[in-house]
Amino acid sequence: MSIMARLPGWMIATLALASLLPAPAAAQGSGPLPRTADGKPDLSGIWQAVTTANWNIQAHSAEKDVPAGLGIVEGDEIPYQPWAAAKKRENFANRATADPDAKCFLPGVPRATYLPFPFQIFQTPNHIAITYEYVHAVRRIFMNSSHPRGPLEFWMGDSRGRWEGDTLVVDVVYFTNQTWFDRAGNFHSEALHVVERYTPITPYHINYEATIEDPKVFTRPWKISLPLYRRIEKNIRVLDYECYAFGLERTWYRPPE
Amino acid sequence: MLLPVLVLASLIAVVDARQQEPAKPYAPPRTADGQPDIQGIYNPVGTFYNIEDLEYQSLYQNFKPNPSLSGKSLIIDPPDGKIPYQAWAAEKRKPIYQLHGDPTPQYVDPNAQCWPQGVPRHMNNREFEIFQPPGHVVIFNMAHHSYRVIPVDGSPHIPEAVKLWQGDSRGRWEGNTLVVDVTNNNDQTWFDVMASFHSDAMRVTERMTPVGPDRIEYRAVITDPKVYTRPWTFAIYFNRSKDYGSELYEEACVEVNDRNMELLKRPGRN
Amino acid sequence: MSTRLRHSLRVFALVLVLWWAAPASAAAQNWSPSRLPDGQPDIQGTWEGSADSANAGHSLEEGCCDPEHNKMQQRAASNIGLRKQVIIDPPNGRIPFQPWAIEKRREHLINLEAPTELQHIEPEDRCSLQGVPRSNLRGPIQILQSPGQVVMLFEWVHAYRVIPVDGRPHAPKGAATWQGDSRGRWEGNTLVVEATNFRFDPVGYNKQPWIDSHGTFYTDSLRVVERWKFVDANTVDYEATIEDPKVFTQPWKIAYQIQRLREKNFELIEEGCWEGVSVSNRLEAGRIAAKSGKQRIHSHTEP
Repeated sequence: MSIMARLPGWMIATLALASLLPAPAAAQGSGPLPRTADGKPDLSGIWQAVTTANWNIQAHSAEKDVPAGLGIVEGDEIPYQPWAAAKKRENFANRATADPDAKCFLPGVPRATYLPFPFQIFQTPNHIAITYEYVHAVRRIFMNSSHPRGPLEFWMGDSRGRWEGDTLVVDVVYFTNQTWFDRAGNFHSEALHVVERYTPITPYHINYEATIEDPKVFTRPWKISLPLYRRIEKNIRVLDYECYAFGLERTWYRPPE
Repeated sequence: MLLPVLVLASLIAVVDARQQEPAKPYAPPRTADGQPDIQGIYNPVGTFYNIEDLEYQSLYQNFKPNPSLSGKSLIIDPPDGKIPYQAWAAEKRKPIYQLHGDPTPQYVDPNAQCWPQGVPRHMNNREFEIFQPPGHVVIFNMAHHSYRVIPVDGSPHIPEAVKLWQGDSRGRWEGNTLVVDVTNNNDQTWFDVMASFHSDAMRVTERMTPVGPDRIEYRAVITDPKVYTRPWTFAIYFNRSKDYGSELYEEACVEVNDRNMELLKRPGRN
Repeated sequence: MSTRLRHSLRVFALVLVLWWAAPASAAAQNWSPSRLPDGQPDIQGTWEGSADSANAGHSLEEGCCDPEHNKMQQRAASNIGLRKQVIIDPPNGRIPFQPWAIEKRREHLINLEAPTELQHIEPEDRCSLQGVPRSNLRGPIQILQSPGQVVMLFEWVHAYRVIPVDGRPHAPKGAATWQGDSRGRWEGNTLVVEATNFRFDPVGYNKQPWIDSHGTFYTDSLRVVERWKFVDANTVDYEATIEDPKVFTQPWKIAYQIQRLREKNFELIEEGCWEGVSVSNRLEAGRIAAKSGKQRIHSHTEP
């Protein structure tokens, strides 16, 4: 007689049921996600993207000083309205001087996320702050609150966040029309609306997605996605990159040799 | 009209605070990780024109100096309220006194070019917010969105060769006082509009003590053996802002600042 | 002898005859390579084009070289032309250029003979990557395999190709590369590889690799399908179909054998090409030749 036949019926039923239950949400590899006291994944720490998206968010071949890249745009297509497609081409032709990044201006969202510079996330239940190394940009994500009354135009937008399960969802509006998505001239208007999703998949990786919507420029919303990597070096710190100060150092008050 | 008066009044209060009795010890509440909780938005008086002499501070308010504050200094040590410059450094500073009203480009306040203010100046440049996530004290400035991160987790300073605009801060709590050691400073920031300067050997030791629910006493000892004959101490108070609201706004500085430097480059000036 | 035994002997004899007379392809069906954990035939090791293809990289139509060239380069005087025709389709062994492309190629050949600008010098001599199929024609190739991938390391200009064989799609068109984007699959003992998405620079005609040294150029419409047929442990019947509807009138095919190198403990050495390149002498000579006013084309058959 088999073992199964000897177990009481209720036990067999329970075992059968248990095998059908989904496993608790565990991170893929590297152990469980660190969590804050209120049970949310703890995204605190220093992160950085590894991608060429800052030069071009779509697939591109290599150029001098620009590595080739496969792009971060889902489907590799940006659905410009016809007038906007022409504007993008114009931007591309003038990109060396026309890119606001070349003038050291604030990068906007989501470009700040995939610049080749680290940033630090500070997380509390009521608000999450992100401090960027590039031109000391700052974003404050106020949790579970509404956007203020507009109209407003911020270079980095106004960010309001909430948790959906283990995903931090951030709704960003009130942009200027002055920032580009990359060096290649991909642009937007002040009607830009970005919804970011930060989903930690291991203690060291966040899957970052952003949905881009701008009815003045695009025919439909479109998405980007890329991983963010935790900077795990010992004593890692966010340093500074004061882009618009280079070459303008004051030396008249330097001590004599 | 009311605003300049209010600002002036708080200025006087700042200066007179030096002569007050020490406040009764105040016990602030604690954050989740046990830090004395001093979070919130504070409203110092705006960047300083000349920390050694507050006569010109009112230029910001109504474009006229205020002789009644002449000679009043924010420096409490040395007792004469003057930065103890070495001789070569005092010489370097003389021209700025003639030109401060209409500076040539090399004498323009770095803060006016939207550059980070450095320490301790970024503690007195319009509204700032103190935020204390676990293991850190983070200070956000409204003025061109600068910030400073002060880990209080015992981690070490970064290597000496790295020079930063805001320096590298390491903090610890001694009772209710936040003691911060700031090293790795570059030599590009000034303490005020009148070019009170330092070298990249500067080291700042700050002590911030909440003396009441709405007031922080701030002391900074500034050491720089290449520029000063001895360390000197700078002292101000910060008052919690009651009317700003709960969220700092973004101030995009360089994005709108392009023309200012151009305006200064008139013929014959360089 | 019993009927049964006679019958068996006859069958046996028939089988013997058939087996002995079988063409090489039947032998290929019979070659049983050892298999890697992911099921790929194990083709790892170092390979090189056989002697038949020795000069094909210089010109797929004419090989190389001429007595004067051989003397300068210290090659055997008899080492001229191709040992065996490498282009098998079209049958006349000539590349089927469109008329405009014939003119363009002639321009390349004139500039090759008297280069006055860097871009006139053969791309291979400027250490550019060679693309497909030219990479296979010069020097040793080390083949490595990992699960789902075949990796080819080329000694010449330390180039490489990664060929996924796991069925994944091609990379996006926007990320064109000099080596092209290769995707492969195994059909029995034949590795079939499709390479597309080659980088093309329309502005400078000579900024990209050529298919041989005699100016055989292409555009971003190039598509190459290779068949690496492993007929036994040491031999590949290699065939490549080259098509570019903007340049050629029809797809064309090359075929030759690639063989496993038998030298014991053979290792690829580093080839730091650009680090040793010097083009100034060539440009100087070219300018002198160009001043003489005579236009000659680079050829090994014309006087």
